[in-house]
This record gives sequence, structure tokens and C-alpha cells, in this order.
Amino acid sequence: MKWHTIPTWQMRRSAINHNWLQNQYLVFLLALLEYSSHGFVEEVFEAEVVNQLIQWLHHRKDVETLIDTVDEMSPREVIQTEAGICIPDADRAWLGEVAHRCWSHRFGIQDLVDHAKAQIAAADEAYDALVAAISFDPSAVKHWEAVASMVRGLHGACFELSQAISRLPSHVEIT
Amino acid sequence: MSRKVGLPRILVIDDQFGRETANKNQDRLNFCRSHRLIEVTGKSGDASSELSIRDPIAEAVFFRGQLPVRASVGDFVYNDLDGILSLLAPEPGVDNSYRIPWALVLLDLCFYTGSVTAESEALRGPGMPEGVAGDEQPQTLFGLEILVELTERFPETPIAILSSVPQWQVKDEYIHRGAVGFLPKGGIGGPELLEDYLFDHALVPDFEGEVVGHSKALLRCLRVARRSTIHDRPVLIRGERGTGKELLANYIHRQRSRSGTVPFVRLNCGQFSDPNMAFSALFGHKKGAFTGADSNRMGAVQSASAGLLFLDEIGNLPLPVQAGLHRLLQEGEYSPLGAEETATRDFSAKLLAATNTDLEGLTLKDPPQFFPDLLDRLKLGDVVYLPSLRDRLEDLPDLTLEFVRQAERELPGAFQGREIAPEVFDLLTSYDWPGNIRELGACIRRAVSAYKHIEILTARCIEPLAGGVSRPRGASTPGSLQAGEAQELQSLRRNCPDFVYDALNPRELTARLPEIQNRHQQEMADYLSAVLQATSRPSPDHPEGEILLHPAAKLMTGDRSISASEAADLFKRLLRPLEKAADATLFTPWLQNALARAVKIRPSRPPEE
Repeated sequence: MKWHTIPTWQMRRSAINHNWLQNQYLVFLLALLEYSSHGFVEEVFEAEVVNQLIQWLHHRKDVETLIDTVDEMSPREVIQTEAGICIPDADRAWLGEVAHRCWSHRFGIQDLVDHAKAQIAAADEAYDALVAAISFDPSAVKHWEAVASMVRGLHGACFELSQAISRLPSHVEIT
Repeated sequence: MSRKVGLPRILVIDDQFGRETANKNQDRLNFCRSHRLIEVTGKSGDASSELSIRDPIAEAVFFRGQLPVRASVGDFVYNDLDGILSLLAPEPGVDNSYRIPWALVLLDLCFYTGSVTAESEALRGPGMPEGVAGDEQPQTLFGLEILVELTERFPETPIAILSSVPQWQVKDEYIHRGAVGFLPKGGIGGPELLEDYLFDHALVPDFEGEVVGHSKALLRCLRVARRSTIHDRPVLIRGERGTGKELLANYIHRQRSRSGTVPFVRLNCGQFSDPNMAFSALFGHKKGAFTGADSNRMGAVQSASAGLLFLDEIGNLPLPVQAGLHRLLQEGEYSPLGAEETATRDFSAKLLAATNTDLEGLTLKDPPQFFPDLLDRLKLGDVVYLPSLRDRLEDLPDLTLEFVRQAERELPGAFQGREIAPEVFDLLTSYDWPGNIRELGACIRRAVSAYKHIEILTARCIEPLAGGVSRPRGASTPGSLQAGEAQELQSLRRNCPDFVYDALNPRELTARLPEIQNRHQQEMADYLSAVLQATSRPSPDHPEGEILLHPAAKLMTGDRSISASEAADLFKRLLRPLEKAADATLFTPWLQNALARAVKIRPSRPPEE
């Protein structure tokens, strides 16, 4: 029998990584990079920069929680719930644990998690540097070109973070 | 004719960027800012007005690809393939000839569906649904389904993937389904990739306005020309006289100069009666090389160093000079006239050659009048075919207007900005234009010159004055028309079903009259559909073929002198009964469109026969 499922963790990941981090935050940073590289000219965007920039603080915890709960993608979860209904209770626990360890070892889950968390730390650092440069008042920034390298740094860290999250498992398959 | 006439227009199909929200779609605006796009979705242009885009690449129209386009909590979001297709399909019953084609489609892969909840909005953004299993699985991505449909139905519209799905996960799927590239969302270098995709794949006009027109035949030619600039192999421009080969060479030079102006040296090979003069003009000469050569002279080859060398009318290049040119292309070396054989120089330019001559025919003459090896060398690069004017008649109005304005500017005291009566285009499109655009330009200049004070250019101004603007009746047209007609007839034969009239007695015949009438209408419907399809022409907005009543009427009647108005009347007469036929299915969309076009051309009731 083949068991293929897409747990709610995966849907949470798509919302956080795909819709927010990649489609919103990274695209915002690219826009900021485009403008800061050539000097600021658009007042509307300038007024929105802080509000969009601080979204990192609003979603950072969601990102961290997502990475911390990747075990929800472990086959153990499936064995202990839907796929394991035909397995005797006494066997379900140890079988689930064995499956989890095999999965964790085979996909190098801990390494992936550690790498993703390192990217969060890198993004934190880049974010702080950028916020310090802007001082929550973009209109006071005189030399956007100098800020551009910091924007590039935050973009790079967030991009790496999104790639790291993408490398985490995307589905559970038990054959 | 130089003026900036616009930007390429792209279509972005993306659930997140395309959705409409109560407030402005911040993600869409950021995407435009980051990719240097001017947002033109809808009519108001409110969003674009607040963006200040530096050096914009394109105009962008955004579409969600889902319904409802503006969703809120409680709504169920589902994919809308029909809506997407309708954005690319021609509008029925309307003349779509002048619709701006999509230069490029940027297509998202993941489209999230399902219910919109407060949580889904908080996580994914306003109007975004929860998502269901399969929305982001590579095997069932809606974006891939769209890609298949679009590449099948609109094969000439380039489509690039715009996605945050890891490229390696889907590359097999999107490449095999015909996408031209992948633009990663949120990745650095997006604008440069977008520019490259447009340069390599888009069917777009010359935005500098020097090469006038937007017919698909011309746009294809411009695309080949642009692609030819990325390598150093020679380019052979072919086309009938007066098709604008020199303008195309200018276009290639401008495209080649995108990252910095390069030298552009032209030489008309038809101007030399003496081979020595031709050789000297091309390769230069040493002092004393021939009588009158009292100093060293640099040739066009050297002047064009690191740039472009354009040899017009290359078929007229004297044979001895052709040998030198062959050596230049084969070895990359040349020697000026009178120089020692060993004193060679390197050739570092790109060669453009143009001709309206049948070079292959010249190589077959005895003795050959064109060096076969040189022809082979010229063909090693790109060969760009410029369409004749009769193969791009949809460009005739733009060209006519351009020539009218030119003539007005050049003529002191002429009325500026005159209108052009519609029947002028009827008249001009009924002519085959053997001299192509040059002939059209001369014709229009004569008309404006003769009637320089009038405010409306009418057919009366043109016909008596042009002298040549009367249809060459029965004259065979060289080139593609004859070949095209043969294909049209084959298609017609394939599409017309055989109908066998049984030998019936009068009573039986009377009883079967409704059936026979129905079959007759069916046959007529099939016949007309076949003719319309056989004579249709793909255009940017009609990849499946645009209905052209005039050529269809010529094919049906065999009368090449029939006018556009007469053609419209003919179709109105034939299609009206089918419109009222008992079997409504006979009046297909093709026939409906044909009737709509005919009525548009000739709104009045046609004369009774």
C-alpha cells in the first residue's frame, strides 16, 4: 500500500514561505533595492518602507515555529494516525519511532533545520543593520546608495532562508 | 521616421499579484517597482500614476487567473482557465488587426484555491484562500495546465514562468511544455532576465518607430533580426525591392548597440562599374595600386572594425571582389589592393549583406555570376526574410499615415495632420504593390504634393495621380501568393465534403426538399468556412488565423480585381441565409465573425442581384 499525504504543516509552509517571504517580503526588498540603488524618488513608496520593512518582526516568529515543527512531516505522525489504524497499538509506537529516526537520518533533517535557523540569525543581523541605517525615517536618509548594500544583505539572507525552508520535506510518503 | 512609439506590453498571470484587493495590491506594486514595469491593468491607471519607474522595461497587465478576482472572507476561490484564454483570444465580431499583442506572458505556477478565511488572509494576504492539496504539487500545478493550453492555442506568444517554486523541481515540466524561461520570484536579476526574454522571444514592433508596422510577418522578421545580433556570424537580409532592407540593417545596428554604440559602415555594392574601385572601397588600397591611387586608403572593412559592415545589393558585387569577401569570411583576413599577399589584416566586424536578387540562380549560371562558396558562407549565419507589402497589408494604414505625415512635413505650406478617408485604404489594399513600401511612399507623396491644401485625403486624390495605382489585372504575382493559393486550394478540397445527389423521383425529391435544403446550407457553410480558414492569416491577436474577406472573395470568385467592398457585399449575401438557417449550429463562430466583419465594412444593405 502506498500512503501519500500533505499535512497541514506543508500548507503552513506554503503560506509563510511562498506567499509571505518569497512573494511579499523578498519582492518588497527587491523594490527597495531597485530604488535605493538609484536614489529614492517615489514618495509613496518612501512612506511605506518602514511599515513593509518591519514585517520581518511580525513574521519572524511564524518562520521559526515552522522550522521547529518540521517533525510534523515525519512518517511517525502518519503511522500514529491515519496510516497506522491497521497496526496493533503495541507496535504502533515503536514502529513510528523507527520510521521517524530513519526519515530524520535519511533526509538530514537536523542539518536542514540548523541551516535554516542560521539563516534566521543572519536575517536578524542584516535587518538590524538596515533599520539602524534608516532609523525608522526614510525621508531623513540622505544617501540611499549607501543603504543599498544593507538592503542587498537583508535580501540575500532572506533569500537563503527561503531556499532553506524550501529544502525541508514537502510531503509524507509511506510505501 | 524616428520616434519612440511605446513599450512592449506583457501579461502577468499570478494569483497573488493579479488579485484585486480593497486597497491597492502592495505586492503587485512592489513587483512592478522591482522589475521596472509600468502597471496598466484596467483603464484608470491609478496604480501606475503613483509609481515612478526608472527606465521602464515594459507595461504590465495583471490577471489573477481565478474567480472571484476580488475575494473576501467567506468566498470560495477557484481557477479560471476560460478567463485566461479569453485574454489572449481575439475578440469575436471585432476587427482585432490593431490590437496590441502580448509581447510576453509571465505565468505563475501555484494558484491557491479553496475558502478564504480570516486565517488565510492573515497568512497569505488579503483575498487569498487556504489552499488545497494539489495546489502546489508539481504534477498538478494549475500553472502547468495553463501553459499547455496557451502554447497549444497561441504558439507564437512567448511564455516565461514566474514562480517561487524551486526551479529544479519543475524544469522538466515547464521546458517540455514550451516555456521560454524561468523568472524566480524574489531573486536578484529579474529585470535583466525579463529584458532578455523580451529581446529573444517577443513579437514586438520597432519601438523607435523607424521600421513601421506590427503585422505578424514583420514582427517575426524583427525577432530573427534581433536574435542575429547576439553572434558574430554574417546576416543575409533578403526581400523584394522596396521592402526596407536598409531600415532593417539600421534596426540590427540599433539592437547590436544596446550596450554601447558600435561603428556602422554601409557600402552599396551596386555603385561600382570597375572591380578595382569596388575592391578598394571594400578592402582599401595601397598607394600606387592603380592609376590615380596616389595615397593609401582605408576600406569599409577596416572602418567597420568591431562594428557592423553593411553590404547592400551584394548580388552586384563584382566576382573578383567576391573572392576577397569569401576569404574574409572564411579566414577572417583580407589584404588591401596593391598590398603584399602576406600583409594580411584581421577582420573584426559583423557582416550584414542585403539583396533582392536570386543569388542561388546566379550561382547556377554558366559561368556563375555569384560565387557559390560565398553564398554558403553568407548563409552560415542568419537569413532574415523581409515580407513584401502585400504579405503585410495590415501594416498599410500605419505606413500610409506615416508617409502622409512625412510628405506634409517636407512640403512647405501643406496642410498638416490631414485625415485619410477609409476608402483610401480600400483602394490601396486592392493593389499588389510590386514596388512595395518604396512604391507606396512615392504614391502617397505624389498625392499629398498634388493636393497639399486639402484636409482629407480621399481615393480621388490618389488614383488619377499615381498613374500606377490601378490593379494589375490578371498579372501574376511573384513569390508567395501563388504558392499560398495552391495551399488554399488543397485546403479547400480537403474541407469540402462530397455530396451525392441520388436519382430520386419528383415525389421523393419533394419530400426530401427540407433535407436537401439543409444539406445545401451545410455544404455552403462548410465551403465558406473552408475558404475563410484557407485564406486566414495568423496575426499577433489571431494565432489561429484572422479572417480576411478580401482574399477569401478573390479565391471564391477567381476575380482578382474584386474590391474589398464588393467582397464584403458578397459575404453578406451568402451568410445572411445561414444566419437564419433552421440548424443554428451551421452558423459557426467563424461565419459569425465573417458576417460581422462584412457588416462593419459595408453597413448598408448590399445591392440586390
